[in-house]
Amino acid sequence: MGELKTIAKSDPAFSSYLLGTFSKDDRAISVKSLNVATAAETVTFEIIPLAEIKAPFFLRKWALTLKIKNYFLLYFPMFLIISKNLMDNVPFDPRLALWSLLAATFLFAAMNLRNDFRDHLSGLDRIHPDSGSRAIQKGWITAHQAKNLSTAFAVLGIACALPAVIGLPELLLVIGVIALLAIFGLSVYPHGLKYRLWTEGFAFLLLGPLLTVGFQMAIGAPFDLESVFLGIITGWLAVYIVHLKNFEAIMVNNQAGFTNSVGIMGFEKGKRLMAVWWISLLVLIDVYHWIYNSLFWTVSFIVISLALSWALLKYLRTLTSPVASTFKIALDRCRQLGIFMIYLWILENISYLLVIELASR
Amino acid sequence: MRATETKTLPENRETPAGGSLKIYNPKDFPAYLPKLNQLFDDLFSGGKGFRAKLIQMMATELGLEQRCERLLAQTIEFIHNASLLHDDLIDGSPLRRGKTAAWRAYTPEYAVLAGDYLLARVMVNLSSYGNIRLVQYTSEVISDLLEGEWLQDSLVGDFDIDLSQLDRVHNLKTASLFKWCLRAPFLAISRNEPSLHTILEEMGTLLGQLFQRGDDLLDFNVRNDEGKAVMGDLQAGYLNSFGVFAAKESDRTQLKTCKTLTQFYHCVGGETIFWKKVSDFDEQNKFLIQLYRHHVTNLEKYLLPEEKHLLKKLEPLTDILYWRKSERRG
Repeated sequence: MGELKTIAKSDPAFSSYLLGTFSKDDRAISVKSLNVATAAETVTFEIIPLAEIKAPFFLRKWALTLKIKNYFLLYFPMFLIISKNLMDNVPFDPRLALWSLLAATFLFAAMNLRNDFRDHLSGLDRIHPDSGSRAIQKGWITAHQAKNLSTAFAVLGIACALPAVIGLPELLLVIGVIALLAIFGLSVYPHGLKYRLWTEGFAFLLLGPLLTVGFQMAIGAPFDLESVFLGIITGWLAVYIVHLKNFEAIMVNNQAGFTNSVGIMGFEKGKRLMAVWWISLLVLIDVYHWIYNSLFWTVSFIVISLALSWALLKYLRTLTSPVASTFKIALDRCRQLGIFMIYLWILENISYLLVIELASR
Repeated sequence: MRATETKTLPENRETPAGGSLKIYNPKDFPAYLPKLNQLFDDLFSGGKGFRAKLIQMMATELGLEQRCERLLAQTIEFIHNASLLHDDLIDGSPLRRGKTAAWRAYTPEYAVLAGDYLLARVMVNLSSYGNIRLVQYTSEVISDLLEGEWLQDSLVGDFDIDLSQLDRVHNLKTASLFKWCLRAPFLAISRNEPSLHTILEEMGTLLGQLFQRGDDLLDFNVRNDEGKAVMGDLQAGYLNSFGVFAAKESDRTQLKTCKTLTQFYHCVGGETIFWKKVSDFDEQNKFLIQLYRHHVTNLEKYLLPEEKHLLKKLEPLTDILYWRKSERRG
């Protein structure tokens, strides 16, 4: 057990403890609280020597800190755009594709770290059991390091995006829309957008149409409606994941007064919202396949959609209490269903690309 | 008439059986409802009245007038006993304080109505005091308590629950009353500084958690000097905090058939391992005790010079609530 220290926000030393800059040899770990609705005028830290901080091995630590498991939300839409262009023989610049991929990766990492930093500053990570990577909470990195890394990744992201922006200045429009949304959102919710209604719309646009259309343009391919359609699907999928996350935290969010769709609708109607959201996601995927892909895959997706929907409804039926052990398990399974659909789609596109490659030989 | 009688604070007296501030005056309840009075007579006799004593301690050190002290002590006892009436019915517990539980001695309907009546009395009595902040906070605590009760019921038969989820339930169900005992006396004298209440809220949470964990250990016959029935929780299908901690690496499905302490020893890998787990559990809870004491130290700057003696009274509470040392020894 380390030494405990409570510091008021008005104390000049407060920010150095919160940022972790107060010492080179110690970490100030803020103590978690079960009292979500209390105005936190003071923060209690446990001072732990750096040598006593337990962190996993290097790669795992950074995979967890950067939330690598969420990168599928970024790479999957980009993969769909690339494979669509390859299948349709639409010309694009592979070098720009690589730069854009790097830019998006760095900017996504910057956003994740900035989120953790903001959560730490606002106190969200002290009351929310599963908020963010918890890398700062566990002492793996300080808030100051998270902020600096975030800035560095943002700079790298912008630098990598430059070749595409110089080649196609219209991209600034997409970047401008994203920036405007972020600025407006943060002006409404100065303590962060997480778990708020705003996040749902933001996630839809950012990981949906803005990403797919922006990426399509960035790699030098012409604008097309198929990219918009793909964006709607991937955005819808991102919001499905957000709904699951909000449902998992329904109790804490409710106590803390955070408003999002699941929270507004309540437990039972929230379950229905997720079912409707999932089924409409599958309908969108099936309609996309019907319009753009082969009959074999369209039928396959419809059959699999029906089976997965049955599974999802079964899992949702087991949700009875936010504190039950089955709660997290069922929501994890709902998330895995979404990931299964992604794998299936990737498999489909790879099979198309293989067929095209074999045919060309 | 009853309504006019309660416009002023009831003339409470100390209950001889409790020998404490566990206040119950038969005049406080309608004379024309004999069964209700009888039920309350049974309910309010016995029990330690710990929460009322905590109020008494706080009130004395903060210099609250006696009328206010009695009101607060009565309020906490009424809320606590209302929760017991409802709790016994929900859990199907046949006994309360060594006597037949109200829902069995009378009927489930009477037990529910009596609990509701106590909560209504709380609001009537408190609102007559005229401190709206206190009324609002008390209402919040009652709703927390009921939320906790509701959530706990959903855990019956759930043997895969984890400790953090249980802590959330206990924070609502058990800790809310401890928080009230610490915060209400300050609110009653209009000491509403947010920083002060943040500390008191954290202290109450920790006291509630420690009390619950200490109580859960009694169920496994650990430091059970008060002779609480052993294995009652598991027999009722409820895996308590120590059960969760001890069975962390065990096959949880076995717990469903665990009805005796010997069977539980077997489930966790033997009696030696069981006692090792008790020791580890204590070690984990020592951090909560350290945190509580840290908050007590920080409370000092919010107290007036004449109130600082309160710190010495608050500090050893964890000995009573977690280590279950008797108050005299403590």
